[in-house]
Parts: sequence; structure tokens; C-alpha cells
Amino acid sequence: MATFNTGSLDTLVTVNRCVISYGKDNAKKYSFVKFRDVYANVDRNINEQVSLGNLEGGDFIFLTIYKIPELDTTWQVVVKGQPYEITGIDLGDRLSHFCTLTLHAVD
Amino acid sequence: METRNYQGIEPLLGEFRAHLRITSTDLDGVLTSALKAGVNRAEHEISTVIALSEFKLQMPFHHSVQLRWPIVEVASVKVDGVYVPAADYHLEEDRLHFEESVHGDRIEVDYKAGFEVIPDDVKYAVFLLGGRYFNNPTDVPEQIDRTAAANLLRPFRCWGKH
Repeated sequence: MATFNTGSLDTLVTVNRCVISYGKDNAKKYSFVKFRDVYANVDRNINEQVSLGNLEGGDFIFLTIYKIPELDTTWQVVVKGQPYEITGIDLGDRLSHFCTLTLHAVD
Repeated sequence: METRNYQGIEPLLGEFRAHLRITSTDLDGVLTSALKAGVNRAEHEISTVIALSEFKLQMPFHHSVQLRWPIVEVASVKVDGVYVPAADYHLEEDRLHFEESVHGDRIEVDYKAGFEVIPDDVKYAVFLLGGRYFNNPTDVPEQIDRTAAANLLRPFRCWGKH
């Protein structure tokens, strides 16, 4: 089993969970509530991304954190003040305590 | 037979969480097991009780009984179920000696042993060992070379005890 060095968890990020409520005409309203701060390894190895015809830099990042059982792709992560939506969750090895998230910056 | 109640583990848990950069209590069950394993491994290395603990030793009677080191206090001593007055035994380092007048078949000793303040380098070695067990929940070959934890513990080794 590949081991991940805990010392690489060098950035404190905030994990927010999604709360869905319903407004007028049953319109869904999404809001985000702080779940907890966690230490993470931030990997910015995708520097450029073609999106909607524009060259966007640094929109995607990979984040390695301790697994959170309730976490799903409706949640958000705030990294250095910038909110990111979760586009992928890689749980890795069944016995590993870590997971890797693929994040995309929220406009 | 000896049973042990780890009192000194709980105060270490918060520091161990911080060492591993864990900000929640979700993994406390696994962390406690890994920490106990790290403590025991380090204790075998230095023949010294690290985490303050209450011990209950039950064994056939001998006039001289070896306890764990360092002893903080002997709470009670029984021979064949009867309390032995403190005047009828004394401690010499980690050995409990009974007076010649004391006889019986079985003894039961309740005592407390361990560091009241754990030296920083020993504590760090315990965290390194506990972290290794936490991160490797399946059996793996261990390195034969001296590890950082072993080097931290080396000055604390007690030769001739246990």
C-alpha cells in the first residue's frame, strides 16, 4: 500500500457541507455551512485549462486530506479564501486514511 | 498475570492528533490503538514504563517480586487475599521485598508506574512509532536500520531491568 507522508499536509483549508433548502415555488436553494478545518496537501499540477474557449489558469487543483465519511460532491472546500467545488473524490486504497479530491474554482 | 489500565494515554491523544495533523476526533479509536502500540514498543526498547498506568500483578508468592519501573506508588499488597501492612514490605528500586515473617501462596499487588512527566524526546519517539502503525494498518516488513524513534530512545535504555 502506498503511504502518504503526513508532513505533506501543510495547508489548512475549510470544508463546507451543502445544505439544501426550498424557497418560493419550491425553488432549491444551496447554502454552505462550515463542517471543519482540515490540513491538506494542495497539488496545482494542472496549470492551464481550456474552458469555454478561454485559457484559464489554476482553476483545477488536487487536494489530499484525511477521509471524511460524509463527504460528497455537493460539498465545497475553501482554499486560501477561494471556494472550490468538488468534481471528483478518489478514495484510494481501502485501508488508507487519505483521499484525493479534484476541485474546480467557483466563479 | 498482570493487567494494566493506561491512564497516561488520554492526555497524549490530543498531541498525537496534532502530530498527525488530524483536526477531528473521528479516528480516535484507531489513534488510541496505534498510540498504545507505540508506547508499548518504546517501553520494550527502554525497559521503562512511559505512559503512567495502574498495574495489578497476580502471581505465586515470592519474597522478592519485580515490578515495572519507574514505580510511582504501591497502592496495596495482598497475600492470599489478605492485605499486608506497609511495615511488612519495602521497595528497593523496582523490587518489592517481603519480611521473612510473611508467607502465603499467591500475591496481588496494585501499583502505579510510569513517567509523571514524559521527556520530550521519548514522547516524540512514541509519536513516530504510533504514526507508523497508524499509517500502516496491515503487516509490513520493518526496516532493519536504526530508525529515528530508536535513536531518540537509545539514551533512555535501562540495562539489567526486565
